[in-house]
Amino acid sequence: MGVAKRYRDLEALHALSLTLSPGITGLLGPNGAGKSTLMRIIATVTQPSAGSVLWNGTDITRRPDELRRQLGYLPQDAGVYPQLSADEFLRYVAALKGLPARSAARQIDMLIEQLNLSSARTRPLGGFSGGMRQRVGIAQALLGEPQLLVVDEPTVGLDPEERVRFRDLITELGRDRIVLLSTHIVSDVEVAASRIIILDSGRVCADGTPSEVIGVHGNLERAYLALAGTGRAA
Amino acid sequence: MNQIVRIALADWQARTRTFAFFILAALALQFAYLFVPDAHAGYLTVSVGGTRGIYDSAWMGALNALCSVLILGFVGFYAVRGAVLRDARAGCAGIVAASPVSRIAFITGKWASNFALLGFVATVLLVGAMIMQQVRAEDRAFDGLAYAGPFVFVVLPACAVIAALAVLFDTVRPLRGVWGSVLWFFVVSFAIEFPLMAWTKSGAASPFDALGLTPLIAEMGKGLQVAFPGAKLTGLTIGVSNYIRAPRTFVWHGMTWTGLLIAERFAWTAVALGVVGLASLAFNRSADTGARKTTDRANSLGRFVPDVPGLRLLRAEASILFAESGWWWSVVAVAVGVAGLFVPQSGLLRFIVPLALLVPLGKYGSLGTRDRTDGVEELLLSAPRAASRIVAARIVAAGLIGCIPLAGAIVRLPALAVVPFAAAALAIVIGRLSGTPRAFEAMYLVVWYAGALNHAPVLDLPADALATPVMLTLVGLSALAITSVIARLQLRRL
Repeated sequence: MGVAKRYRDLEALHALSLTLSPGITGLLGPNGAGKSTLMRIIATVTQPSAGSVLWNGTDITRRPDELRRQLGYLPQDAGVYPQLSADEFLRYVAALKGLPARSAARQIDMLIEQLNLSSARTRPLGGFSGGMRQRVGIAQALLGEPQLLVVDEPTVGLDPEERVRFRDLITELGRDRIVLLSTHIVSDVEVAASRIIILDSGRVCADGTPSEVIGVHGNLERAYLALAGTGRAA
Repeated sequence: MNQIVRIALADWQARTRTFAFFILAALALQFAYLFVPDAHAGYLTVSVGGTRGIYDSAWMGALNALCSVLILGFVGFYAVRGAVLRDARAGCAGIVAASPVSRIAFITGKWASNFALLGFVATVLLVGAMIMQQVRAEDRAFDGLAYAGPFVFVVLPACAVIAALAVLFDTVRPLRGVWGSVLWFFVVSFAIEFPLMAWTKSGAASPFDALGLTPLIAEMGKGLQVAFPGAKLTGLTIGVSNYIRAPRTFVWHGMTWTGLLIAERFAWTAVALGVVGLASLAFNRSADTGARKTTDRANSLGRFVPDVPGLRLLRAEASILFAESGWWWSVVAVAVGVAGLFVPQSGLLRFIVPLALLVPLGKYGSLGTRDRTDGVEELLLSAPRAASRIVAARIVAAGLIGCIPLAGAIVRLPALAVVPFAAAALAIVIGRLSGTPRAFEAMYLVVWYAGALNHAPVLDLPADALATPVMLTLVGLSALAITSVIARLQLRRL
């Protein structure tokens, strides 16, 4: 039985079955398609109404900590403590993830460098631009070298240069781990993802490699526009 | 352990880098000064049988401990509340929920942060007391142990208990909001009154004294008996008591800390850790990760404000205020308002008016913080003449809503109508200054408890309304005008 989620009278996910393997899986869909609900279930933040989620054979709806130790999660609209600096905030998240202090310090240094935050690492986050805060959010998700990375709209607020930088980083990370990437920016997924899933009204409309999903439509944007409505019709 | 320390540290950093923290530190310094009035000040903060000890280290250590516990209980709790909710407000709740941190480690970290903040305030008060001993100069000989005993065995365990209950009130959902604040007020009042009553009856310290007041008081009482043999303990006051003739003073030689007494005090620290355990069981890490819960009850009584140009903003503000609570609030408010028409005047002032002043507290608390919490500040202020229009509409809407439970009383005592409007204006200013609804709630509850419920002079607004209705109206209108101006300036500064 697939995973289902119901909010009162709204069926957010309809018995959805997926198996994820290392690589980047791009999740596309219109607003309200169920992307964030699916991400939140996989990130152990919310429980499905029916079905189970298995991580290496362990049902994480019952034993979520089995996954949480290997999970990086960037929620949609993730926030930060405005009074803390990037460095302090990342140390806080490292503590939540149970990283040893030395390892945490090393990873924080590396991520701050990778995400181009070096010049602002000691400034309070309250003074950061939206894009800079988003980069801090991405950095916290990458702390602990997670085996599963769940990122919900990670490129919102990033300028084109930062988007390219993030795409390169995520492509690198996707070589040996599972990355589930939800976005509205079709080109981000087209370039980086090895697999694309299109959701609509809580159902899978399309699932395959980029070339399989694009099929006869010429490019992913056209394919998305053509396929996204089919879930509603189902 | 390292994980708990780092969680507590981040929380501490987030709290101490706010304007509200500086207000708290300044208040602590001010309290430290007020605790030790000079010989002609006309008031005492701790008096035993109408007397006081001379301001030596022993008396100052005990006085500081008693007053600190009172302040930490009534003010400190509200200052440290919200450690768990802070993650949700900052948008970090999803990150916490998806992390492998255990509930007990996370909640213990939050408790440690609460404890550190209360401990900081207590330390400021302690240092202030030491300075005031030298300033008052009744006995300048400094005895560090006389300060350390009450601080370590009374104040710090009390901090542990208050910090733990603050976390529990954050994690148990029904206690999170304004009614948790109201409940705490009665809990801490009981926690102070009950052991004091037990001590009055038996003359001995009560073991059921979470805040640790009675061991000190019992020893002070013994000191009084030694200084004035045969003197009767006709009254004990912690807080402000006025006098006309200067009270007698005596030399108190301080506490004898027995092993049993120390064990009792540390047992309360163990109880505090037990409460932290309970709070961790109650903590639902996923509860605040989703979209904000919305209500479809925005229609309610807000609909009765006419939808005409000039009143639309008022209608919108009223709708928001009604939407913040369910239909039950309107039913209770109307029922209390109607009851005020029919009960005898004595019952009106003893029961109905205090209740009517308490019912809208939840509406006032969020007036000054709602825009920031909901992230609509900039959106609102981009509207033409936003600051003045919004503040005016908000004060009028909240004031009118506050008049609903007071309706019956207002028909009989019209001057009371000023109170809700003044409260709304003050709530906006305090909310904007502190960034939290708790500051206004705590202040309002203290005034309500002392005035409306216990009829303390000046603060008893209903009694003032009866005695000098015109004066109260003028005072209320002045407060309204002044606070409106301040609130406008506050909003404009954003």
